[in-house]
Amino acid sequence: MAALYANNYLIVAIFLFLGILLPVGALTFGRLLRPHNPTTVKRETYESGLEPFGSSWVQFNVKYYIFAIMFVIFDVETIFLYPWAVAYDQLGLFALVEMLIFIALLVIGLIYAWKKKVLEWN
Amino acid sequence: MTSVLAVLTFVPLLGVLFLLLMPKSQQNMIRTIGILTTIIPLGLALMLYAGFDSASGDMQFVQQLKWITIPVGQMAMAINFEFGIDGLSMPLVVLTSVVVAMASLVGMKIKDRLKEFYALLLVMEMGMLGVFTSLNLFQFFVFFEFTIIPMFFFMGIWGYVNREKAALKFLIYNGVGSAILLIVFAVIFVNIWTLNFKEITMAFTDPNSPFNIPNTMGYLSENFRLGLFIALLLAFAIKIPIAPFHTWMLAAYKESNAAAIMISSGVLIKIGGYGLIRMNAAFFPEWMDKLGTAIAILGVINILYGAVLALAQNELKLMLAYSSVSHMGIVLLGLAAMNAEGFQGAIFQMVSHGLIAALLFYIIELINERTGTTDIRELGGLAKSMPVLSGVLLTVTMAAIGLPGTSGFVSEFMSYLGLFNAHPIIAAVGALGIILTAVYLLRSILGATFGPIRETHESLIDARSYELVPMVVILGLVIIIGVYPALLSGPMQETLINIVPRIGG
Amino acid sequence: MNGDSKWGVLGQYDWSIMAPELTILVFATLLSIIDLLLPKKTDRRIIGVLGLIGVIISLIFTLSNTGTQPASILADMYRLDSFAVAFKAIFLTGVAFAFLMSLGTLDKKDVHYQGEFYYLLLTALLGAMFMASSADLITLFIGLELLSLSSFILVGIRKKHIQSNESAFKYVVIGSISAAVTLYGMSFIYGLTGTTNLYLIAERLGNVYQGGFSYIVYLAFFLMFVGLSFKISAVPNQTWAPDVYQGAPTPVTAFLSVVSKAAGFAIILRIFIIMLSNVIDIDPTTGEMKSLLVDNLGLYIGIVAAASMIIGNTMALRQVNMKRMMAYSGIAQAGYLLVPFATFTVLLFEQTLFYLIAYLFANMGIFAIMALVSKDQGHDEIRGFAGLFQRAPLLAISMTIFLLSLAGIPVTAGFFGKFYIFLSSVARQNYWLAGIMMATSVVSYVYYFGVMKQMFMRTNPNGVNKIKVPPCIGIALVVAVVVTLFAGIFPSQVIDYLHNNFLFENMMQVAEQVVMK
Repeated sequence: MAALYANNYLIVAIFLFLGILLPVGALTFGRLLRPHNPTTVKRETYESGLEPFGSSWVQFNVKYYIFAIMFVIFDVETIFLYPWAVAYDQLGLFALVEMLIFIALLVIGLIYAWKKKVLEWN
Repeated sequence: MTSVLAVLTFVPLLGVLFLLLMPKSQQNMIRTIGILTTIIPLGLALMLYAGFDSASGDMQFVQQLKWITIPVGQMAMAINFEFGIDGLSMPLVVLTSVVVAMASLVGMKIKDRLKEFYALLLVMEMGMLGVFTSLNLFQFFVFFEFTIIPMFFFMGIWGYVNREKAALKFLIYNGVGSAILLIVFAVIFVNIWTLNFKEITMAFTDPNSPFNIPNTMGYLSENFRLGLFIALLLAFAIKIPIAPFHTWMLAAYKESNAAAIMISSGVLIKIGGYGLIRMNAAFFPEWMDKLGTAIAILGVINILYGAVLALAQNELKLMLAYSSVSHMGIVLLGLAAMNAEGFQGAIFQMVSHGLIAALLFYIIELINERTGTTDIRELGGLAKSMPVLSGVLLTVTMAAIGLPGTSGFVSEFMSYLGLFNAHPIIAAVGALGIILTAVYLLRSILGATFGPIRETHESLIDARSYELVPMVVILGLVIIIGVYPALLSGPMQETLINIVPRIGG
Repeated sequence: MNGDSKWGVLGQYDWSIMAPELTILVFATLLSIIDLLLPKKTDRRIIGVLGLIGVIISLIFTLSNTGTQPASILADMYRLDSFAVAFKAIFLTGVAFAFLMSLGTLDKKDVHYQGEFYYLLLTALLGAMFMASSADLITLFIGLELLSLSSFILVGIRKKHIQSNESAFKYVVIGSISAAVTLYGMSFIYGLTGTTNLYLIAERLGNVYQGGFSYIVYLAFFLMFVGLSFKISAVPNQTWAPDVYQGAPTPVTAFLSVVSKAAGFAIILRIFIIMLSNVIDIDPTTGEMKSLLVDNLGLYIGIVAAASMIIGNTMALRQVNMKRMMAYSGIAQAGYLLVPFATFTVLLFEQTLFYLIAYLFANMGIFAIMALVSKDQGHDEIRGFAGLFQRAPLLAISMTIFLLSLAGIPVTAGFFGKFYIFLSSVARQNYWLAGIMMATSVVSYVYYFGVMKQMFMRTNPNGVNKIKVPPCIGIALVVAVVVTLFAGIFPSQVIDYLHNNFLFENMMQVAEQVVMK
């Protein structure tokens, strides 16, 4: 039994090993096979064809994060709602009530964000 | 009559209650209440002494109430609230009430925070009386703590420059002692399931008790008992104090106020001796017997160490502190003797030293108050300006040296008599202490009272009338006990007969 | 069960046993909406008052459940037994104190978001209640996280205060690490038994342990215990306490030191006692059978307890800031509270609860007075207490009673609590632990009496003006003093109450799923 348990970890170990091996191997092989002839232009960072300027350490407006979090919440809501809607017939009344509670809680969160002026951009 | 001890113990709290209701400005009223409240336990204690049945060695005036039960599965561990006194605790109860009543007169001089002064004094009195009237370990411990905590404040609020440090030192040393006590008490409780002195004594000493029969369930091995014995000895060694645990005492006596020193030297350190008899000797007589030599040697070390260092002091208070160490060594000698004379001597010494030390410190503080110093080199010739005060000081010094006709003589005589029977060689060495005591006490006290006087000390006020009260009362008791020792030895005879035969002396 | 098919199986549960939690949930939700709708200028204390009412209603519901048979719904995800009731009563009382304290001392300039402050206290409380009232690892962990997340925000709620920000950040980082460690430990248990239900785990873990997985069980225990030690601020996860206590607003500090810590004990006792109840260790050479929980783990728990006592009590000696001192004192108290668990006896629950009660009232009292004093002085340092006796004698005397209770001096609740705990460690002949407990108690005298020294023996340089005590703090202090002294003088009454009304053994009893009548 103990051996069986340890076997499970063996799989994890193999997985881990492969996970490390693949990128390391690919990059090493690439380095060995490709020609090595750098120029100034070649060494520049690729930014959609534009020439990069300034420092890459830019402070982003914190509102981006709050918007992102708001987005994630509704994203998750949709993920929940979708399977529920598909199986609605079998789930019955209780599931409806539960989903309503769930949505209500999210709505409270939305109202909170609204009242705290998170949705305004200025 | 059955609840007289409970009343005696808690009556000081009533005074505290009255004090709390008093406005701060009514200083005279506060003093009156404070002093009168200490008179009530004194009266009750004397009443107990009168009503005490000397023919009985058992606990008297016993009262028992249910207090705490701890359910353990189907059984329960019980802790009762029980009072009683026997010939061992009775003299100490009287001593406590006398010393506290006298210490309350120190309040005549205190102007700052008078209300707190009396409140703390009375709480402490309750603690001390409770320690001596408790019949079980838990209650003993609770009251024991009630002597330490108020004393911390008492020393820390009224005293000299380094009083806070001294108070903290007192607290920590005594805290360690009480921590050890609590461990011992808990060990006894979980093994024997009782905390009552008498039941524990029975459990440990009755040959038929299951704790004494080897190879049975509850048997408590000799090493187990030795461990408890040593732990108790250690805890009380801090209290008495036995060198090298005496350093808290030096700081405390040097820095605190007169009332604190009177109570500490008069009563608190006696709890150590009381504990040694009540617990070490009563619970573990065979170990007390086996370790008698060791205890006697500790006693002799205490006597000589204290005496030699007292000889080297110029500070009167420190001299007296070391002399306390030395005098408490005599208590140990008496205990180490393991016979009736020795035990009697030990108890006599506890009472006698309690009275003498309290009075000595009281007078030294009076001198300090008038001259602003307790350094022998700066004093001298005080007999000229303060004849009465110096006279009393000399008389009580004689009692401390052990002049016949004073209580000091009786107690030293009995202690040494007991020890000469048991350990003659150690006793002979210890007897050196008597000579040294005379040397250091006479050197310092004579140095302070005779010889050339300083100009600034020429017109000092002699003892005031209220200052005379403690002197007269305590000196009176010292001489009465010295002349008629049966007053003290009578009630304790039967109790000691109860304890001593078990020691096999 | 009259064929309510449209409600499904969930409709059949008796949700009324969950009334205390539902009350708190409803109040927290309502208060958050009320806070949004109230005009900006309105005094937010009304929310605090409403929150306090919610807590009291919930407390009444909880206490009405004392002495009932264990019940559970949602497959033990929610479970009501004596253990849960007792701990929830402690949490609710603690939070009620925190509310009273906030109503009396919270400064609008200091804590800008007062509405959030009050309902986050409620959500944290809800998390704590679930930690006491569930027998499923997942729900227990969710309760733990709800408590943690709410307290992270509460610690950082003094937004303009740099120490508050710093402490919130530290709290988040250390909290997340310890949650991860706990979860890692739980994953081993799940891996071994294939369930998160504690009773099923208990049923299966005995065989698994015998089947050669003893080391993994040990590993899981250590990971979970170390992770959960964060909540009780015991060694090795004690480092956050001083900084966080100092940075957080005083009522939050009080909440963390009492409710959060009690919740930590609830979850530790709940998980380990049920989970390991059937695990027997058989000595391969002698064949002697020993219970893992009762006999073998005591050493390790004892080491944690001893280390907490030693580190807490010695570090507290050097503190000049009252809150930091109380943080170290709290670490030491956590050590004392682990002693009954380390020296497992039948008295375990009564000892833990008695001591928690003593600790609750003493600590809450101290923090309430501290909140007043630091508001008056403008700082949290111990020297601010100088001369308190002249300025407010009753406050100084109450403070003394609380400090004595923590130091374990008769006749306070703390003394008997310590003595009670002490008995079991002596009875199990665990003398080294008993010795450390007593020795460190004496060390603790130095700093507890140091505060008293300030109050009684020093004078305040800022004058002797009186301190005004707001009525809600007054109520809190009176209750705390009365309970501390009552439980100290008549401990038997408290123990009897616990013994007669709470059958802690029923924690082990698998409850029938409660179905609506």
